[in-house]
Amino acid sequence: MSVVDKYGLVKDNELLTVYYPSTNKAMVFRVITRQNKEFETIDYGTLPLTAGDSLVTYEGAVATVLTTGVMPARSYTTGKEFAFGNDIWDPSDMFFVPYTWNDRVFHVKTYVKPGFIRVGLQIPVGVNQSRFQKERVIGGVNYQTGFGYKFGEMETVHMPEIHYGYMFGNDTNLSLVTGVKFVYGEYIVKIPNSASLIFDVLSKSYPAHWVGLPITTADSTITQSLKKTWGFDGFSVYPNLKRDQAIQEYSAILKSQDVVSKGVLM
Amino acid sequence: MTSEVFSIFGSSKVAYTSGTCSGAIVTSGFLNLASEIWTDSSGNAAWTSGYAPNTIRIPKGTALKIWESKIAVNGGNGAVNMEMSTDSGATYRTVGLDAHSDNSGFSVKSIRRSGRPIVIQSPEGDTMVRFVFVVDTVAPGGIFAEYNAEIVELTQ
Repeated sequence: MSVVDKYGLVKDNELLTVYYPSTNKAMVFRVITRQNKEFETIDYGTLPLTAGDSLVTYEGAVATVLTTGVMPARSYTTGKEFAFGNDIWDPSDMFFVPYTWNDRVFHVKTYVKPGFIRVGLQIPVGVNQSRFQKERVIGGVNYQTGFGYKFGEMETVHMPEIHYGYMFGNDTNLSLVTGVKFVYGEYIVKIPNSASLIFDVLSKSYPAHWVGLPITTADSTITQSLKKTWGFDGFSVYPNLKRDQAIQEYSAILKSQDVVSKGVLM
Repeated sequence: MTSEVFSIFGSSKVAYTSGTCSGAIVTSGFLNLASEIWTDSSGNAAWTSGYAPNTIRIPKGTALKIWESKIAVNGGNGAVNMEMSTDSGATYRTVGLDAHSDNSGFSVKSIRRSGRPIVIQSPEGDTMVRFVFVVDTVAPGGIFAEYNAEIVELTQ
């Protein structure tokens, strides 16, 4: 029985694991329900490119956006956030919520047209996370090294108190008319108050939907936002042989005043 | 990535005369192509300076598949040729050629390729494909061309 539905979003009462490679830690959530049930799709419109914007090209020149939503040939853009009217918490970033909203995470699948546009993610905004050979080579949409991005689609989980930056690149010689669709779940979440269940999830013996964030280098902004929101920065992932040590550690986290005081356990 | 299916098309808005081709560059008499995914304010493809007309740079790590090509000419006077080529360094190599010579005056002719696609791979991102039409004296609206194309990841 799959824990995700036809959209690839986590079903009610199933578990979501958000994994951070840089620290080998993960957050485990029980999805109580989805606020946008039956309304999982937002046809956002074009990429947030406004006529007159200046983008950089892969040749190092400057390309001006001539028509809103049309991406100039050979250009790329980084650190993009999506606006969604003035009523949202941060009018410039539709997936940002503050740390006090610790019962919410946004599971977002982004689909960009045309499908051969490069799509990448910066967490936090402005920080490219893809690396090759430890820290030797940085990747991303804005590099010609040819890695650190996907074509046309991206899955991520937006956590509270941190801005993500989207990157888009057009390495053709044609100006492209763009479009964006989001398939998303605004999950109402709690953290399971069971150390043994947490271990079973992280040892892959209990089903959960895993989303690995593209975070390869430790960034204090990420750690601080997690601690500010949930009182800790994730459960360490242990091998099966260290079950006792893991459960002891998880129990200590779940009993700590920093976590209990947040009211996020169930 | 999800395969990107689109069409590349163009029709003659002006009279073309004395179409010529000099090496890799069509110097005159060429038909500007457009698409539903790329455009400029005039509705024609906006070719980046430095590239030959009607030349598309295929994204790194993808392949362009041409599933079908069609050309219709009305009132052609002289040879009509349609050609697809890729750029390999300084020269173009023909990867698919639909050539048609029409000296019948005012009849409508078409060239069609369908079935197995022409696949042009771009592992390094520097592969170009060029769509060339060389006509000799065609009135406005006298020529129409369309390619049904698809871009897929090389791993697909």
